[in-house]
Amino acid sequence: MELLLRIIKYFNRRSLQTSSPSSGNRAPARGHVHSQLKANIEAIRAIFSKAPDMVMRSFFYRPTESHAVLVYFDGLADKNSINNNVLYQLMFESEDIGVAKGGRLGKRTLPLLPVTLGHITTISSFDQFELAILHGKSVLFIDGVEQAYAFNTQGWPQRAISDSQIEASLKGAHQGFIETSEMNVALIRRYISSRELKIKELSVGSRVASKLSILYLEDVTEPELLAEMERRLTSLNVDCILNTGELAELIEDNPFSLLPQFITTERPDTAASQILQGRLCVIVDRSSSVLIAPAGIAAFFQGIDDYSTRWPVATFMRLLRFFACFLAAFLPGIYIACISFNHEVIPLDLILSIGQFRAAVPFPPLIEALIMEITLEMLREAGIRLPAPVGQTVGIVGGIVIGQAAVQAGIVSNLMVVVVSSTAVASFILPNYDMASAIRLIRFPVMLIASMFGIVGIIVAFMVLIAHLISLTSLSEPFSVPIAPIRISDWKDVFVRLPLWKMTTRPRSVRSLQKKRMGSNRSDGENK
Amino acid sequence: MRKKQFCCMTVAVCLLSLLLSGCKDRLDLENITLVLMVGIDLDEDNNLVLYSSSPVFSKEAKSKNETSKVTATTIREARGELEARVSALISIGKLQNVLIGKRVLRHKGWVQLLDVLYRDSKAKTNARLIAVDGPVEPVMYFAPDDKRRLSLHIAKLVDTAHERNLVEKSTLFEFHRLLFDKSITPYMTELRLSNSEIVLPGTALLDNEGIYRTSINLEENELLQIIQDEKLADLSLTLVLPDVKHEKSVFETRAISFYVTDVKRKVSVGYAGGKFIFDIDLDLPIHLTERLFAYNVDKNATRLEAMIDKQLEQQMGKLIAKLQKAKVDPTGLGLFARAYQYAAYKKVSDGWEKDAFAKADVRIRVDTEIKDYGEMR
Repeated sequence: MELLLRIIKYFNRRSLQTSSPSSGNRAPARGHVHSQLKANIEAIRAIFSKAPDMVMRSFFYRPTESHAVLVYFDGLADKNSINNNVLYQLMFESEDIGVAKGGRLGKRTLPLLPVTLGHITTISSFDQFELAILHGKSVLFIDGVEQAYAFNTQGWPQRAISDSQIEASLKGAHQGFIETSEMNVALIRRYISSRELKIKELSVGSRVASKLSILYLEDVTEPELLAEMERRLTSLNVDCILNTGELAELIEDNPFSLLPQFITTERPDTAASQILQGRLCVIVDRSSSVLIAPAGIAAFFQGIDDYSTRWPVATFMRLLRFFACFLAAFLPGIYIACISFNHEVIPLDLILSIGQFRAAVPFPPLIEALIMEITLEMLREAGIRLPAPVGQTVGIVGGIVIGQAAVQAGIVSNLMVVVVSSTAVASFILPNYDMASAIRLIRFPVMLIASMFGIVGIIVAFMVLIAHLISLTSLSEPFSVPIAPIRISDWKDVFVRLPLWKMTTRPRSVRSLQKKRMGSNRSDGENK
Repeated sequence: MRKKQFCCMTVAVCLLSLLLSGCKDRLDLENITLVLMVGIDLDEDNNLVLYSSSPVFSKEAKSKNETSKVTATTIREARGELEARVSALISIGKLQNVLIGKRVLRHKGWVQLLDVLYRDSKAKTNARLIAVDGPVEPVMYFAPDDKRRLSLHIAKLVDTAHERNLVEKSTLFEFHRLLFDKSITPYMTELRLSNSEIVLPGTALLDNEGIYRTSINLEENELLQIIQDEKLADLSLTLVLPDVKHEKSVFETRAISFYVTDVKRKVSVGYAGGKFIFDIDLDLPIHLTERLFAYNVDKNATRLEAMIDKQLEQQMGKLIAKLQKAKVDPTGLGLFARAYQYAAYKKVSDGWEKDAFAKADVRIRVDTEIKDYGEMR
């Protein structure tokens, strides 16, 4: 680990010595929009060379008796909207405009442009122009006008809103985020239609500006959290952010940890519920998942279905998840420790049958376990890459055929197949993909240490894990809250899920300004 | 910097853990010969003979068990000898039974042989101690076709028989307690190989030095467990009531069987004239399960109860007399004497079963109550 740190530091230093990658790409200020159309066209051609998808439509603009050009990117802009609301109007419906022929068009006359679109902005510099056109707007240049006008005609290819595949739910909503930030904001607004839902927009990335929106409830969210998040986002110096995962990796507290320190979700209802608890939600444009911060460990064990099923059922599921998480990380390790060191703890009849299975296997338990685990991980990864029907076949072929054949061939023992497959099942129970992957990875060092030190090793691994969990932070807030530091009042929604009418306060772990979430809807548990 | 510190700490903890004592004793399961049964006996020349029985895991082996026999001075020394014979390294972590020949039990100091089983933290102190009536060797090599491997069969047999109160059971752990408690004498399950069948004839009773004194049979053992107030599962007794009219037949028609569903015992201890006096009151609710003679229980329950009481009292009296004669006290009455008559007990504590219990006056009063007489009148 020391070595790893050194290597990373070395590369960091090198990258600092060479000028930071983004500063060189920062576009020089290209100046203001000229009043001559010709000059403007030349400037545009200079900015966007080799851009065949850029459309420049010239026409005669009658109110000012001058030539005009509408510029947009084919594909990013909605053609229908440009034809019907912009071009048609500008060309034919422009008689009524209250501007004298040959008069000047200025800021004041902006609303008088005969364009039937809601959102029009004026543009004075080519920087703004570049940003606007790259975001799918169409920009109008008129000869003799020292300004340009950007019309909201965005219409890039966009996917329909569908169920999130990675976070499927039975009883929750069947809407998932898509890749357009405006739409994602709208999805959250549908859940929290309150004026207290504030949206702070930031632009990050020097080559390609990525729009980040921080959503929070002004009267609930602790301002320190917001400030910290803003500080981290604004201090970013990157080329471009393509994905929420990239963003999370750049701003997380401990980049060396195996564990995810932010929740990323594709579900608007999960995001809304977290915002309502007082957390921040960062929407990254072009990414279909959003980032929730600060993340507590409990959130990784909460599924959205927990709140729509009856509370004893949800509690059972919650406990099952914690148990499964433990199994997924430690079961192969415990198995190895038991058969390599502490066979005394295995019940007699079991040890006799394990002995029979093991006698046929030529490898030590660790190798045996690694063979099975790696096979399983390969199957899992192959299942993701392949199209759904084939993926299933691979799962069946791998799970049943390879497992059975491996046992018969004497490569692995029967019980190891049982252990590995139950571990695999356990690792898929966690509702959060990032956490499940982390747990899956933790399993390997645990196996290794178990094969060297037995149960002692497992205890050491467990203690190291606990120590790490305790010291980990998310957005400078303790990650293991409410378990460590203890916030007993928040335990209503950690290991158990108490009835909703008992959860009248927001979690203390997030330090929300407004504590009360609901009144006592039931007094003494009686139905009023 | 905190992160770096954490990483350093993690590395340090990992390195330090290499020094832990748990690291060197790695022993994979396939390299272990699990000794499930140990036999201890003396041959004709009074040499100590040790047997070990362990499962064989390999599919190529025809027999599922391997049994070895060595002569050695101690059990630990025998391990070396055995490891030179059996297929892998010996582990006694899953030891089930320790069979001890009666020949061994008759010699003073045999208890010291068990020392290694107590001292070695990896040995299993839950192993059952079993006295073998006759030589141990045929039992160790006995491999019945219709039973599972013998070590497990014997373990199960002892457990279930004990569950039905037919034999007493002593694990190594319990035996240690019985041996060192001056006010109770140890006992262990007795086992015999008769007509190619493993039989548990009863319980072997030992004195406070572990020397074999006498044995009690299954019925006596049931009564003993009532007196001990250690009834486990269903305790079923069958009595012949001499006061019932006997119709001449080859069959005994005066027999009655019942479950003792509960034992409520009251013991009071007195000391008078250099003798301990024990008054044991036993309240036994019973369920009749079998009655071979005509009797109207509905109307005359009290008379039947009285007959049963009398019969039980007689049999228990006989049992106590037998114990007193053999100078053993597995009943645990000594514990009452120590608790309630300490001054008197202290004088005789070193030879409780010889000096006090053997002379004590034990009065047993049984009060049965028929709670249920079955589906027929």
